[in-house]
Parts: sequence; structure tokens; C-alpha cells
Amino acid sequence: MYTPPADEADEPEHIARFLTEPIAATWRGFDRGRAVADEFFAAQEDREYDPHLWAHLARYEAVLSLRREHSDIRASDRQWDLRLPHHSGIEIVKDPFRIRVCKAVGDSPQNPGRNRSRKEFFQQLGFSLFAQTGANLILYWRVRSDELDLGLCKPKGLWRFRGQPKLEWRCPVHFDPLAGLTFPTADEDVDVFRLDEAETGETGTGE
Amino acid sequence: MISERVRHAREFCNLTQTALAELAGVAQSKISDIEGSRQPASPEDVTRIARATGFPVAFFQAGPLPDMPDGNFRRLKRGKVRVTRQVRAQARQIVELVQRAESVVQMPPVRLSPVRTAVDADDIEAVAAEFRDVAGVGQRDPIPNLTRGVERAGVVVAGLPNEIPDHYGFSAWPDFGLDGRPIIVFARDVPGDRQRWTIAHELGHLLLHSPLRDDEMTHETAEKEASRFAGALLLPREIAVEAMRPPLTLTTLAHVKATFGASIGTCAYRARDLDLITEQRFVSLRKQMTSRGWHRQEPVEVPHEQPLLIRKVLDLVGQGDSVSSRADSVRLPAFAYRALVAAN
Repeated sequence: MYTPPADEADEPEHIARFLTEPIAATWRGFDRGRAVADEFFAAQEDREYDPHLWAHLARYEAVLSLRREHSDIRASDRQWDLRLPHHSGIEIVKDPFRIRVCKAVGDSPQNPGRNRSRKEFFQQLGFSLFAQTGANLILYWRVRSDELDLGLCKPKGLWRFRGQPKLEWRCPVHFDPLAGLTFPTADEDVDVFRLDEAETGETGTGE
Repeated sequence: MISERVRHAREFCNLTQTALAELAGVAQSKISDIEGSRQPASPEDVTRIARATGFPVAFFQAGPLPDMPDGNFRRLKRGKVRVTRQVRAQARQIVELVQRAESVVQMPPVRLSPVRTAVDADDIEAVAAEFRDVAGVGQRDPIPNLTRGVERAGVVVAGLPNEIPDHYGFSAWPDFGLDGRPIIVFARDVPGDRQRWTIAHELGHLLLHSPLRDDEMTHETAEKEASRFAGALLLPREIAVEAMRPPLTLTTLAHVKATFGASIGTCAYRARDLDLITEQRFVSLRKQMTSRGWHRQEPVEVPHEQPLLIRKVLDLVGQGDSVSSRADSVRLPAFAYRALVAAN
């Protein structure tokens, strides 16, 4: 259950921590997605690189990966839900937050476009003005210098294409997929040789 | 015999004849003549050379050095020949120590079965699987301590006592066919995953490239076979196929590394060798590794493995209370004895 922080200034990071699991699953999905997209274009020598198709392929694989991860979690342990609303991409729900995943344009999330459902999402219309917690959030992704970057933000209205995004807050999401990974070596069978107790060989016999 | 040991001591210390002559206060031509058996070494010469190299005088008066074939090196192309000779000399010194220990106690029997004929990729996978049985490791399990598995098969594994630029490892099988014991030495100043790879690679040479092998092969072929063996040993085909399902990313490879103790680079090569990824994907992964600096320092720590057999040999053969007396008893310079103990 989400409990708001005492200091409002900490809220974005606090929310990002609360959403660690679905954010990590999304990161892994897009990490696989970009590999699929890269491989597709590498295998098609006669096809010119198309960033829209590349992003589409990456997103498609990310959806498959998220679905798989979500279904692999035991129902009783699931703390987040995955929805795929029509024309609105990927939606992750972890009460009291709804997160839509979209590709960044430059450093910012995309504008909502003309889709009504998406506009309502960006305008936070589903939430009461007086609600203490809960919000629609956007998790935007991009690949920069070969690194997959995610950012989390809370939209507060609509803006035009290439216009200044209307956001209440935004924060980069720091996710290290390799954190804590180490190979557990073992100094096994320490006494395997027991040379000190081994049978004494014959010396000086030349045999 | 003295001539051979003078050369050996010089190479062990990575000295040129001129450098040794200067340190010993004799003419370079004299060192050359002694090493070439054109002139006997006087007791005074031996004392001077012993002082210059740090070896005890008794070292030069001992019998012939143990057999040491040319062996196999894992080194960069820019590696200097003199350093290569030094690595070989240090390995030979370890062999002598082990042989002295073997005259006193029984050591684990050598349980390697080298191949006799040409091998293809499937044969190499089979040889690696066979070794897993010998080392007591399940066919689907990670090898938790490769050094220990190799030692259990009767092979001496030892860390080199000093920093060896551009050299990673060396293997040889002295007195092959005459109850000889194979040896693998490795550089200590590399990450644990590279150490494991070097040991696996050199083990591949011992099993695949013994004098029994009845076909001719180029150096490149031998290196490729040894590398294929190392991949197959650390990451058997069956589990590699399961663990590295496409789409293969660096994150996946890092998790495979954390499970099997094979470097990310090794995993990428293994995936390519097993046709799990295309050549383009392999190149792409290598480029991503380079851009992250992983070609120099990979993430995911693999701890160093500590050889045990050589440590026990040093304890057994080294007699005395002080480092210098123990060094004397194993006929090593004190600095080399100290470094060998520290490295193992």
C-alpha cells in the first residue's frame, strides 16, 4: 500500500521507489525490445533504418516480455497489473497509480495527441482534485548513447506537439539491472588432498 | 647441469646475459660460455651468480632440471619473448618443487584422457563433458571452483609469483607418458572470470593437443579448439541454449556470467559458436561492450580462485622457521618464494 512521504518535496523519488518492480519489468522489456529491433534491421540489409518501425518493434517485444513477467508472478504475489488499452500502448496499474509507458521525444514525454482517452489520462480527469494520493503517471523511455533511459513524470494537462510539456514533476529513474550480481565461487573440498596424511612414498629407490 | 641451471635462473629472473653479468660482476662472454657449456663455472662464478639472482648456491649444484616441453602460452601478440621464457622458467621451477614433494608423499593421480585424433566441435563438447565427470561437476551445474576441479584431476595449478605483462597463462605436460604431471600457471593480476577462462583454455590444450594427437594443426586451429573447449566446459551446450535464448542482451549475458562464472565476452562468443545469435548480433554486442568499457573491465564480480595443491606442496617442501630458510630449502630466491606463497 502506498503511503505518501512526510515531506512533499520527496514525493517523485518516493513514488519511483514504490513502483520499483513494474519499472524494472518495463526496463527489462525494453532492453529485450531494442535487441529485437536491432536484430531485425541488422538482418535486413536492403531495408533502410526506420526509427518508427524500430520503436514499434521494441515496444512490441516489451509488451510480450511484460506479459510473460506478469504471468510468471504468482497471482497472490502480484502487486501490479498490466493493461493494454486500445491505441494507448502499455498501461501498468499499481494502486493508487496508473502508469502509461511511452517513448520520449528528445528528453521529454510525448504530447498526448488527439486520442480522447489519452487526453483524459494526461489531464488527470479520473482523480478527484482533493484526493490525497493517486495519479496518472507517464514512464517515458529512450535509448541514448546505447543506454536505455527511463523517466517518470506526472502530467497536469495537455500540450501541443513539440510544445513545452505540462508536468507537475518529473524524475529520472535509476535502475541498475546488474546491481548485486556476483558469481558465488566456493573454496570447496579444502581437505581433498590431505598430503600430510597421505601414504609416504619411497625415496631414493629410483622407482 | 650447472650451465642449464644458470640459464634457468637468469630466465626465471627475466635478465639478459648482459644484465646478469653486470650484477654478478663477470663478463657477459663468461655467462654465455657457461650457459653454452663451453666453459665450466668455477665455485666463485656460482657464488657470484647465486648472489646476483638470489638463488641459493645449492640450487646450482642440484641435479638436472625437470623436463619442460615448449608448452602452450596464452599471451598477447605484443608479449615479449623474454617474458615468455620467464613464465616457462617459473613453471619449470614449480614442477621441480612438485616432483620433490612427490618423492615424499602420494599426490592425486592424473586423471586426464587426452584425445588421439582430430576433433570437431561435437567432439570438443564431448571432451568437456567427460572432464566435468572427472572433476565431479554435474553436466548442468555451474563449476563453483574450476581450479579445485582441475587439481582434483591431478593437474598442478599455480598463480605466477609476479606481474607478467601481456601473458595470461601457460600449460605443459612434462614427462608425458612417463607418469608426468601436467601444470597450468596463470597471471594473478586479472579478474577472476579471466583467470577461470585461462585455466579452462589451458586445460583444453592439455586434453586436445598432447603428443598423442596424430594430426598436424596450425597454431590458430589449436587456439580455436582450446577456446571452444573452455566455452564448452564453463557453459555446456544444453544449458547455454536454455540460458541464452534470443533476444540476447548484455543484461542477459551478465546474468549468465553471475550464474556460470564465465565472462560476458565468453558468453557472447559461446552464443555465436552455438549459432544462438547471428554474426551481426555478436558484433553489435561486442560494440555495446566496448562503448561501456566492458572490454577492459566487466561488471559482475567473479572472485579469484585460490590454488590449493601448490600451497600444500610449498608447506610440505619448505622447511625452517624463517622465510629465507624455507626459500633455501625449496631452492628458490627468497623474493620468489615470498611472491609464490603470496600468489597462491
